[in-house]
This record gives sequence, structure tokens and C-alpha cells, in this order.
Amino acid sequence: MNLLILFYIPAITAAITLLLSRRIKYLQEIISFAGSLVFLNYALRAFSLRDQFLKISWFNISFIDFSLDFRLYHFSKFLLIFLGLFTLLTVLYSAGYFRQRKISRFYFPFISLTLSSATAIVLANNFFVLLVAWELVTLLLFFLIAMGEGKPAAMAAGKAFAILGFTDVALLLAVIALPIAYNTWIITDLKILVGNPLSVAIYVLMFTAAIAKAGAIPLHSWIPPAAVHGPLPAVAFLPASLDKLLGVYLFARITLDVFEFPIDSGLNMMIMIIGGATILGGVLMQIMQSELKSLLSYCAITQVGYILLGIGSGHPIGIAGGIFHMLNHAIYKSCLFFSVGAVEDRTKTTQLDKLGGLATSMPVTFMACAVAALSVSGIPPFNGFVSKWMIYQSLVDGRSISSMLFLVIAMFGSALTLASFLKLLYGTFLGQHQPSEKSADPAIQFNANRDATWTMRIPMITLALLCIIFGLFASYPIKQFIAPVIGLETAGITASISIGTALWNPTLATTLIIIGLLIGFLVYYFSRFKVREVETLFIGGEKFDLENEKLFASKFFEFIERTKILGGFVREGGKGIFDIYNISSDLGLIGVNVLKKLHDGILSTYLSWCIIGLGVLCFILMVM
Amino acid sequence: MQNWLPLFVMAPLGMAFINLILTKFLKNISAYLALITVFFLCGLSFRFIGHEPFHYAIGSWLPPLGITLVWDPLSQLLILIVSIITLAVTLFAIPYMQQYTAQSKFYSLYLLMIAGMNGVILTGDFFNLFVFLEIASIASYALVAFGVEAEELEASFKYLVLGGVSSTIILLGIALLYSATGTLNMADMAITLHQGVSKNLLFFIFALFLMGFGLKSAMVPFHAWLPDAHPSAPAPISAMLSGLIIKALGIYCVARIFFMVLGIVPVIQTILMVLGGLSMVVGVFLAVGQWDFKRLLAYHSISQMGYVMVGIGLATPLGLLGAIFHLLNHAVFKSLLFLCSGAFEYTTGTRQLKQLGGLLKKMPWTGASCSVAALSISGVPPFNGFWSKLIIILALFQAQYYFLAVVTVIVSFMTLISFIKVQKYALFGTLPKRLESIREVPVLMISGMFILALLCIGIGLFYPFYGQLILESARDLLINASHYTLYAIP
Repeated sequence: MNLLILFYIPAITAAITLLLSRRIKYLQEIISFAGSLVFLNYALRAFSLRDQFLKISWFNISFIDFSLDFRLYHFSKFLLIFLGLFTLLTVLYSAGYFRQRKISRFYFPFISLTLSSATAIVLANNFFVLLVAWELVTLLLFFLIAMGEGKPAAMAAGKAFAILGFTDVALLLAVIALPIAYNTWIITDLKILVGNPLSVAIYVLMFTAAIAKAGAIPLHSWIPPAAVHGPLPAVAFLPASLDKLLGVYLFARITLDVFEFPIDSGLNMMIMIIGGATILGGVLMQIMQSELKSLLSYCAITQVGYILLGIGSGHPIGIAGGIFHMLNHAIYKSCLFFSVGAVEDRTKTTQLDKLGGLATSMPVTFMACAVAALSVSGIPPFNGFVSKWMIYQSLVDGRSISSMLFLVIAMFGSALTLASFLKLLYGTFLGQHQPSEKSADPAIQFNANRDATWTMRIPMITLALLCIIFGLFASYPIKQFIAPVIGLETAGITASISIGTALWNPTLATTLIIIGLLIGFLVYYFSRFKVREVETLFIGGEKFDLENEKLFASKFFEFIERTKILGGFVREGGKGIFDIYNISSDLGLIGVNVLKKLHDGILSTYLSWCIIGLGVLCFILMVM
Repeated sequence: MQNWLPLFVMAPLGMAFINLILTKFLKNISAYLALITVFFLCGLSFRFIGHEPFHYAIGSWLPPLGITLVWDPLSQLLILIVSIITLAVTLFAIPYMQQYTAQSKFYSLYLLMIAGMNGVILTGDFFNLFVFLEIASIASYALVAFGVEAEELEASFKYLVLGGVSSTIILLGIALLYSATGTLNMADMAITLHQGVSKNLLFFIFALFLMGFGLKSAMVPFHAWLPDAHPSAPAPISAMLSGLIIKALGIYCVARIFFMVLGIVPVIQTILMVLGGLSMVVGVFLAVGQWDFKRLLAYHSISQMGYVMVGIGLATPLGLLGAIFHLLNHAVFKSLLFLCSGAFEYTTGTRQLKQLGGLLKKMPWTGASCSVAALSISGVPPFNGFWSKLIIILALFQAQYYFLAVVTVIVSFMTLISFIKVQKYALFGTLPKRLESIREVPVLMISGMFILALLCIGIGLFYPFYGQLILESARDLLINASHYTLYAIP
């Protein structure tokens, strides 16, 4: 099989859909769906292929070889499958989501082009190819987010492009330094021992690009506005899943393959500190959100922290856990975004205060959302628990004070994640049913009482099932996908804990959970005949009106804002004080204003600059 | 074939005057006369691609006494740029200029500007160069003032005064050179200078030319005229000024004179790089704070010319290639951006970014072209600006100017920021109520922009097909500058 076919399929799909008008219903959707199905088929076939290289010469400029190098190996193989899967599900979901809304005719072509570029990143064996494809993904993200509604979407897209553009530039600098310093930019030929300042600089620049795409603090601030204002399926596709896969892919690639760290270098510590900070900062912001999409977007930031902790620990189990967590995160986060989209589709709102009691009318969405929410909170037996467990194991095995500290942070983050998702589940699906504001349009009223359409349900169900399967049978994906990447054998490794013991054995616990659920069900079943008594509430003599006094999920954790240190942090963070985008634009404005003052528009000033300039030139050339 | 060379100058120069006479009899013909001329020039330049370097003695007066025109890879590159951009700009101008009166005068001045540029590019005679330089400059002073509003007249006046100063300084430099060498033929002068000349005099001339041509190419601190002059002109002229004039009269002259006549020396290289670096940074900072679309573009011209100057100042093979490549790319995308700004102004009546929005939906062709150009100038792959910036940064790394490389990269990022601003305010977002009735611009304007947008995409991707013929040949000439004397003089 020719590797290039993996680019051609989405590229051709994009080209065909680009020519089609949106007037014919579902035409773009069907072709995009077919395209991604074919891609997935080839990706599955590629999985069983042997590793291979492909080199296409393009041109040389002096000593630099601009050829296109590709390499198919374990890591790219399994990523290809998931790229294809996520595209397929996103296209299917979009078909349902946009059946009544308007979307630009470039939406579906750009989704296919994103797949093509992401494939190029995953297959690249040359940092130049990787760079170009990397920037293309950023560019496509910019356009996709800008397709959201109104000015806020444009602003969010601009912010995303600004932050990612900055880090793309960092990657550019690093990539350009490679052929000058190491004579090649072919990834498999590079083996850089981190030691001299140049190599550290290159690593840090690449690392910056990787974590910005994945969304770790302090380069995270593009995700929340993009998630809130961008078109929802595109958000589930790029910032929530693909960007995470790609960001972590690059990070893992450079950390594991390209750069060699001396033992106990500061860089590992740096990665873990960033990871810890991301968990703490992300989860504190996450728990305060009262809007579903921004809650999910902060959660998307928090989870990156776990991946960084895992890979940064340098422990084989931690690395495997980190990569597995990347995969799991993409699965459940897309599922969460999809279910929030379904809720939005029916109720036209994503404010927690205006939602409630949807579990009865939207059972499938509720189940999918619940599974994904429990996964992300690290509840066994779902997949999120397995990968988090592996990361904890590696931290425990670190046996130093710092790694214990990180362990505490990680567990704390996990607990707060659970808290925030209870809030989400309660506020949206459980609790009291919120009568939607009396809408003049009966269609909305009617819609609100039904579950999402099947095109939206299938992606959610698929992802929720994956959450369960990857949890119950975690050893399969780890053995098939992840162990080969880091050269980990399931048995007989010399590390102090082998992957066999690090892997949590779900059989017993699952059985116990199921038995527990069964007993609970039986208790419920036999006690249902008992007549329930309704007592009037007594609250200090005050009247409590059940109709008007509601338990708002968004107020669950309001007390945090009132605490001293944390409260200040959360409040300031909400205002964007810690946003690197705001900080740097303020700094830039100072420079702009100074220069503007100098240009006063008076001819004699300008003339004097010219004369002084000439004088200085003469002085330099004649006297010195 | 060689005898056709003067037509590059004669055709637009002659047509400028014929046009004024013919419009007395046939109204509305001037636009089409200009279009025919531009088409002819474009065809002619394509015929000349790949031609061996040669010189053409005007009126059979042999050099060094007579005036010569010289065709070589460097002039080939510039002539090609001028022909293609003017073709697109003329297509755009035909509907656009309907808004103005005195169109025949516009096209005459426009053709004079082209004649001046082609003359500067082709001439092998120093005084002749000055004459053509003045033709192009004076035509552009008049064109900047073409709208005759207060703002435009003020801008034109500033431009006139500062441009006049630089012309005088250049003339002084030429006079000094003439007194030192006794010849005005550039090749002859190069040979004479090579035999030895007072070092002080040579450096004084360098200083004069640095200021003179530095002002023409808007290097900081000689840049102050540009942000006023370029936005004030009608959009097609802004495109010509930013896309072509500053290159033909500024950068090209620096490359031609410094490398081939005077002979480049390290200290001049350093000065060029310092001026270039300064222009990059100052230009981009000023651009980021702008809300007037055309003014923002004008400041970016300063910044982008800085890139070219840095590349030329490096004078390594990679640096020169990057500079030449960026020259070509900048001509394409900056003209396109100015045309787009003109198209927006044409339909919406404003160039304030804050008053625009959602134009991509109403004007898909213009909007898409604008987006392509904005991404090109911000150095996003796969558009052309990315490749030339990449090469310049590579060259800076190779020559171990790490600091300047980082500065270049940061400037590139700030360019991206300011063009994100353009896109998010003008193209995306919601359409203001006031603009709900706007429609896409006429098809001729679209075709002008479309050609340039295609070039933005194609130039980068198809480099292997034309790079050797067009760009690397010009680069090789600049490296072996002494070859100039082999073919420019018998």
C-alpha cells in the first residue's frame, strides 16, 4: 500500500465537497462521510502493515534538502485509526447538528483537509513536513472556529490563531535550527543529547509548540473562548480530540525519540511542574464554570496536565499511561462535547441554570454523557481510571518528595473533576425539570422533549462504548497500541514495577460493582410498593416555595470564590489576568504607543530624521 | 529579438502621450489603451524570459558614450514582477477608476510610472537611471494627490518634499561618481572604480546612496513619507506604490548599484542589515496599532522591505535568494492586499476595520483573495510568504546571526497578529446593518485580484519549476557581480 493514499483520500474528499453547494441537502455530508470511511478502512489496513519509509524528493536550496519523508510505524499506525474514527464520527454528528442550522460551505471540506494535514503530521519523518502540516492544522482550526456565529466567534478564532501562531513560530525556529546545527531534519536520523544551550533551546521551543496545541497552562487560554463560540462539532473535533492527539504526539515524539536527556535533568522537572500547574489551575477554573461548554473546555486543559505528568515522569509506566490517557481523553472529551451539543440542539441553551431534568427526555444522551463524565473523573471501571492509575503508579514509583507532591495534586485534581462533573450531570440531566421559557415557536417546545437524532446519537454511543471497552479490557489497547511505541514488553521488563502489576485488574472490581448495582436494583424493586410520604419542609419558620426556590447546580461550589487565597485566584483568573494573550498584548501596546507618539505627521520632523540619518551614516562610514 | 528591448520603455512612454491626444477624439478609450499596453508588456516580458544577458545601444551610440539598456537575470526578475502586477492592477483599475474624473490623465500618469520603472530597471547608464527615477517619482507624486482631497494633497506634498530631497541626494552621488570616474556608463564605472578610487569619496557616495535609495525604499528612519502617501492614493496606485515603486526605485537600485557598480563591502552590509532590522521592527509595531486598513498595509510595507534589506545585507547565497524571493512575493501579496482594501472601500465606503465585518459572506471572491494575501504576508504555509521568510531565517541562522533570526521570527509573528486582526474584523463576524445591501465588486476587479491570489498560492508550491530560471539566476548574478562588466559593455 502506498502511504500517500492516506493523504489523497481526505484531500480528494475535500476537493469534491469544496465544489458542491450546500443547497442540495446532505450531499456534502454523505461524500465527507464516505471519504472518512474509506480513510478509516485504509488506516485499519495500514495497522497490519510492516513499518515503512517513503521519500519523495522535491527540491534543494543550497545544503538544505526539502524532500518529503514519511514513516509508518506503531505510533502513527494507531493514531491514524483514531484520526479516521474521530473524523468519521464528527462528520456523522455534524450531519445531524447542522441539519437545521446554517454552516459555511467550507465546513466539510475543511474537516477533510484537517484530516489530511493531521495524517501528514502523524506520518512525517521530517520536521519540515511536520512543521508545514502543523501550521496547516492551526490555520484550519482558525477558519473552523471563525465559522461560529457572530463577532465572538471571530474574536475567539483570532485568539486561538494568535496563541497557536506564536508557538508555531517557535516550532519554525526550532526546525530551522536543526539542519544548521545537526545537518538534518529527518526525525529518525536525529539523536540529540540535551546538554548544550542550543539543544535545550530547540527542545523547549518544540515543547512549547506541542503543549500549546494540547492546551497546557500557560498557553491554554485559546481553548475556552474557542469552545464556547466555535461550531460545536468542530470544537469536539479539533481542540477536544485531534489537537490533543497531535500535541501529545509531537511531545512524546521529541521527548522519547529525538532528544536524549541526561539523568535528572531539570527538563523533566519543568514538564512535571507545568503538568501539575495545569491540573491545579485548570480544575479550579473548571469547577467554577456555569456554562457547559466552558466547563468542558477547562476540563480539556486539566486533563493535559495528567498526560504531561505521566510522560514527564520518565517512567515507562507513566509514559504508557500518559499516551493512553491522551487517547482516552480524546474519546471521552469528544463524547462529552457531543452530548452537550445534543442538549444545546434540543434546548437552545448551555447555561446550567436554565437546564435540568433532561434524563427522562434524552436518555441516550444522558447515558453517554454519564459514562464519559465518570471516565473523565477517573471512576473505575471506565477507561479514564486505567490511564490515571498508571500515571499514579509511576508517580508512586518515583519515590521522591516531589513526585509525591505531584501525586497529591493529581488526586486532588481528579476529585475536583468528579465534583465538577457531578454538577454538570445534576444540573443538566437530573434535578428539577426546568420549564423552558415560554417560546412562541411550538417546534422548540416539541423538540425539547425528544432525544437527539440518530446521526448524533451514534457517535455518542460509539464513544461511550469505547470508554467502557477501553476500561474493562484495557490490556488490549495497551498491548496493541501503546506498548510497541515505547518498546515496552508486557512481561519481563526490568523496571521495579512491570506493566502487569501497574495495570489495574478490573475483573474483580467490575464484578463487585455489578453485584452492588444489582443489589441496589433489587432493594429499589422490592421497596417500590411502599407509599412515599411527603413532608412539608421546615426551614426556621420561613416559607419555602418549591416552585421558585431551586437548587442551582451552578451555585454548588460558589463557596470557593469566597475563600481567601483560592477565591482571589479564581476571580482574577476569570477576568483573564493570567491570560498570556492579554498580558502580551498590553505589553505590545506600550511599544506601539511610543512609536505612534514619535510619528506626529509634521513634515519638518520627518525631514530632520532624514538629515540626521544621513549625518549618522556619513559619520559611521567616513570617521569610523 | 534584442531590438525589442527598448519597447519596454518606449511603449508605455509613447502611449502615455498618445492616450492624451486620442481621448480628445474618443472618450473612454484611455483605459483600454492602458490595458493593451500592459498586455503587450506582459507578453514581451514572457518572450524575454531566459534570454542571454546582453546590452542594447540606443541609437547605435556605442557605450560608454551612448546610453545602453541591459537585459540580465536581475532585470528579468524585476521586469517580470512589474509586468504581471501591472496587468492585474490595470484590470482592477478599469472599474475602480470609474469613481474618479479625469481618467485619461490617470492612465497617462500610470503609464508614465510604468515607463519610469522599466527604464530604471533596464538602463545601463547612471544619469539615465536618475531621469527615469524622476519620471516614476513625479508621476507617483501626482497620482498620490489624484483624489485632490485635503488629506491626499498633504500626503502628496510630504512625499514630494521628502522624495525631492532623496532625488537631490542621489543626483549629488551620481555627480560625485561622474567626477571621480569620468563616465556615466555603469559597467564602465565599475571597471574604473575597480582600478582604485579614494576610499573617503567612495564611502561618502555610499552614505549618499544609502540615504537616497533608503528613502525610496522606505527604510527606517527615512520611512516617514510612506504611511501617508501609500494609503492616500487610489487603491490601484497604492498597489503599484507598495508593490512595485519601492522595489524598483529602492531595493533594485541598491542591489544593482551597491553590488555591481560600487562593489559591496562588509560595513555596508552591516548597515543594510541594521537598517533592515530596524525597519522590520518599527514597521510592524506601528502596523499592529492601526485600524485604518490601508495605513496598516503601508506600515507593513516598511516592515517587509526590512526583510528584503536584511537578506541583501547578508549577501550569502541563501540570504540573497531569500531577499529576491521575498521581493517577488511581497510584490504579489501586498498589491493584492491593497487591491482588496480598494474593493472593500469601493463597496462599503470605508477603510476603518472597526466599521467592517462579515464581508466574507457578501463578497466571497474578494474576501477569499484577501484571506489568501493576509496569510501569505503572515508567513503561513503553503502560501508564498512562508517560503521566502523561511529561507531568510535559514540564511540568518546559517550566517550565525541568531539574534536577528529571532527578531525576524518575532516580527513574522507580529505580522500574523495584525493580519488576524484584519481577518477577524473585516472578513469574519457579523455584517453591520449599514452594509446589508452591498454586493460583490465587478468581475474585472475580481479577475485582477484572482490572478494575484493564484500567484500567492502557486509561487511557493511551484518553486522547483521556475526557481532556477527566474530567482536563482538573479541570485547568481548578484554573487558574481563582476560578471556585469562582461556583457554590459562591449
